[in-house]
Amino acid sequence: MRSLSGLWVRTARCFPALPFLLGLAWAADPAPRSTPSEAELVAILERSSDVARECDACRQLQVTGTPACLPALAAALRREAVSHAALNTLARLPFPEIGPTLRKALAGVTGGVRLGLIELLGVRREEESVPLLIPLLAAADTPLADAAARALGRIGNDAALAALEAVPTPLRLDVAHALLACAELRHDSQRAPEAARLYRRLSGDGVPEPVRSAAWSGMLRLEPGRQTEWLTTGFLGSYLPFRLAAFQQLRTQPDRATLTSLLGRWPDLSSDQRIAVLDAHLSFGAEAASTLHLARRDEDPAVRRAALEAMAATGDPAWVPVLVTAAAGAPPTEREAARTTLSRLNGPAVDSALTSALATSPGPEAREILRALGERAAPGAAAELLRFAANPDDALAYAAQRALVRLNDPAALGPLLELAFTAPTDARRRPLIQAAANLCADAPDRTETNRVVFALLRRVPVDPRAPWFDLLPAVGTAEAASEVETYAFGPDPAVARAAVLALARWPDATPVPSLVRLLRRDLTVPLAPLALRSAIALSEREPLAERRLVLLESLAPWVRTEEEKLLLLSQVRRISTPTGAKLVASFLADPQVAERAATDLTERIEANLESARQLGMALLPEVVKVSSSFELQERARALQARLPVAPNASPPAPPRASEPAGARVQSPK
Amino acid sequence: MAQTSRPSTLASPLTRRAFLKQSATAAAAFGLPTLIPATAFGAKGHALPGARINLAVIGLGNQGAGHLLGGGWTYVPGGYMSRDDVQVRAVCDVQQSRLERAHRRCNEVYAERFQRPGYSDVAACHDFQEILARTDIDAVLLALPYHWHATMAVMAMKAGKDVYCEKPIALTVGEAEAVVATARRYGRIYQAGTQQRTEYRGKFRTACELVRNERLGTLREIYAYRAPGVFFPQPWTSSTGSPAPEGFDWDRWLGPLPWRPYVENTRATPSDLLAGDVNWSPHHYDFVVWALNPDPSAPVEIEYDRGRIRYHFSKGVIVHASDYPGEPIGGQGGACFLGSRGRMAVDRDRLVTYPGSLAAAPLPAGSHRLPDINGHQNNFLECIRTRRPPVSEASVAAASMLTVLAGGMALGLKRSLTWDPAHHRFIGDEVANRFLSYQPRAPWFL
Repeated sequence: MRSLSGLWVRTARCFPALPFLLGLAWAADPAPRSTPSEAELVAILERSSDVARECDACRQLQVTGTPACLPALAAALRREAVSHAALNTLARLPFPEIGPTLRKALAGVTGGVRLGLIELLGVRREEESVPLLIPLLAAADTPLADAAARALGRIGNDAALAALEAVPTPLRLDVAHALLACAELRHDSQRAPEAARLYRRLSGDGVPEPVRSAAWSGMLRLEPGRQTEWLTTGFLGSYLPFRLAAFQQLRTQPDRATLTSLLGRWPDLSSDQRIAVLDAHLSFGAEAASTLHLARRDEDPAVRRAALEAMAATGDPAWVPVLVTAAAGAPPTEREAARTTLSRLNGPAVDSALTSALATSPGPEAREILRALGERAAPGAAAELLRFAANPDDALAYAAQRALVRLNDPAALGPLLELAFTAPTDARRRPLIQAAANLCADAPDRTETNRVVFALLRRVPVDPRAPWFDLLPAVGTAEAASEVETYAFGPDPAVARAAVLALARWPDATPVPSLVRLLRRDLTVPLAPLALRSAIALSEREPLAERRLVLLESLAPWVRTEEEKLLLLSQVRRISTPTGAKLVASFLADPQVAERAATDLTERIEANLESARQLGMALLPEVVKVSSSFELQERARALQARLPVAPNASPPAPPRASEPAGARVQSPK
Repeated sequence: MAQTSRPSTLASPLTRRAFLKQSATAAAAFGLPTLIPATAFGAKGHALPGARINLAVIGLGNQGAGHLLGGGWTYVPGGYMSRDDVQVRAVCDVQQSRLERAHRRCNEVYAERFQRPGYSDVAACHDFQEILARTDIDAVLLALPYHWHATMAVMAMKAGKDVYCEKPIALTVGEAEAVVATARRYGRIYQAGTQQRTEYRGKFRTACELVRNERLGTLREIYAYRAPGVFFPQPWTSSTGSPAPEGFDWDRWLGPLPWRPYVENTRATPSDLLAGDVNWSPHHYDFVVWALNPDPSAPVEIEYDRGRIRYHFSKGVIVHASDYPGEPIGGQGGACFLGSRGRMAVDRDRLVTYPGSLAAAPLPAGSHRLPDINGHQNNFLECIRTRRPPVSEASVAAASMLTVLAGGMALGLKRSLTWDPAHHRFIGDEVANRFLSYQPRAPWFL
């Protein structure tokens, strides 16, 4: 390895043009138009002493090579710097002549090339290679002997197997792996007795571990008559690799006899063993119920949780009470497992079992059932949940309301609003309105939602209508906006405030003009700051930048405090057009936010230097003038110097040389 | 050079293997039968008291160190070192500085945790084969340069270790096949680092369930946001470089790759050995394949169009290896799905549907559900104990990765291909089939 790397370095020194040639050659398409002929590529391999060209020839031969190129590639195997590329090409070409070529080349190569060649002979799995490989098994050079073992294992014919079995004990690791490969080949080709014999040998004492447990698993598959005995022994035994293999085997190919045997020893099993037995038993369907009961009562929380999780696949409504109890009162991990299973338990009778249990379950369990009904989107669940949504028990009512929101059934909106309408107090009404609002927000048909909501609102007397404003942003229609706006302009300050708050939550920028009208009407009312901040925030929801800017421009005259100005500037900052820059520039004269505006403008021009020439010419001197930050002034001056020159214009005057920081600190702004 | 120390059993807290070994030895000493009842191992319904899993972490860059000790991107604060069910026994890297840093920190953490000043049982190994040879290590976490993942995973599984392997799990079709075959043959637990199946609050699982249960209607198109990729050297090697810095075993870092000189700041497999993206694309296509659940026997048309790839799956679903125009959600491991009823975009932070009502209601009971698993590490460790198949087991991870590799091949060859997922071959393109594997540099054969 080291010598190869050294050779490369030396080669590179001798051929300074190598990087260029390599880049030139390999950047080309695999099949460029001017593809050299195979004869030309072979000629490069035969005559060139340029490693880069030779490697490139190998690469191109992967695509265009025929058996005619094989002698040249074989010869290249003897030149270390090219050997890997040549071997890779030989590995990729699909011709039967390659096997003989490789075998012929074997005697003439050493080191890593030889190992690679042996590997390739193994991959090709030609029986003719076996006689060449067998003597290498006894090589004193361990990597060579191991490579031969691996190749023989891959070929795996009778001669290869005999040679591998004849290797003296203790069994070398690579020989053991090779024998395992031979066993698998026989297994796959229906030669079960031979495979079983090998597996048996390899699962015995003295065999390196990873091979031993793999062989043990193979043996189990091949000898079903003794599977129960062996599997039980392995499963319960002290030898960890067999034990783990038994876990896996039991899960993938469970057999009833083994399960019966293990279930009889349930009290003595460890937690992991119990979970494995439970998993295996589940594949037998309904008969696993007894094991599920056992597991559910287990001392170990992990086993109890596994039981709760496993119930999901049973489809059996009989587990509903167990799951509900666990969801309501078990420790957190079991509770989550029970909740997940309750939401996923399939089966035609599960929903009705849940509904039946609702009638008799105490509060915490009833809440879990309500939750499950919402999660399961069960048919008819909405009616049941509505029944509980106005329950005198607040916790139950809240659980039902949450489940209704989760259920997201548009048909539940009308009844839910009705419940809210008839609620005896505001305290009971508000969560119902909130639940209805959540349903409105996700409703697929906005027009229908609007109809349902306004049918109800028209029945609500005007005075106590404010609590219902929460509903209207979720409806989000023009009619809803108009309704809230009416109250925003109304005489009652409390109602007007509630209306503005509702407008602030609007899903789009529709209310901004109304809020501006509100500002125009009377700036002295305490509502103004709220209306202004809401309008600035809402403008962000306008997707088109130019329209968003128009909205912000309409708000600019009303900003008074520094906070309001910064809020507005932060919105304008996201609009990168020249008009946006002009709006920002209008704040340069405002001492409260001049620095922020100057920074924003500088960054804009930096980001769009090529297209912002005029803007830069006009605004950068202003930035320099108003900014108190030396750093920003320097940035602005540097930008001025970098502004592109206008066509037919003389170059801009050079910027003023930087002054020492101390001088700038003293200079007037 | 790194000091490689064997852990002292006496000094270590009792671990799973040690516990079992001690129990068995004790049983033999007292003349108990060979078939020892499980009560001897902490049974009577109790977990084994020493049921900690012995772990080694190989590769201590950002990803490996994050797994080990926690960090910005990780999902468990404090990493594996903070877990009560794991005992980190060794760390390994070919860069001495990284190795020493992680080694020192691990021993410091355990010294504090176990109140054992001078704790030194976490070994530092320069050569990963020392770790594979240790019989007291149950599992290895591989966070390596891409080209090492498959080779080392195969070697580790053949050495009897369970494996957590970062993505990409393979750079060629042959490597992916070898990983699957080895996991099966040796009965090892293999978890690929495609953690979107278990992390991010189940967002990706939810999205897959919505797609599979046709909440979007008939699925038509998917935007995968990333190009696929594959091992496709051009050139085979390079002469540009400089001597590797002191303490960096460059030759071992290269491993199976064609030899080339060291290049400063090399962190991942050199990009000129790859076509397309093999880093992020495994996340994206794992998600896409999980959601799509394609017919494993149906050929996939891979259309090459001026450097862009489009997959045509059976039932007419097209997967674009690009962004959905104007949709910012999807770039972080996600995708955008278009169906007859609407659109859904998902990434690690967000799941949005257009219209919003598509995801608002829960899936009804009886819908097709996917495993609700909390945490990729948890799943890996639980499966080591129980021998259940992990959520990103080898065959699952390979199915996703093969989709990436097949598309990558179309990028590399710059032509459209037809992929046969059942036989792992390109149909009607024998030249493409020549590129299904490569000859690794000796002795790093699969």
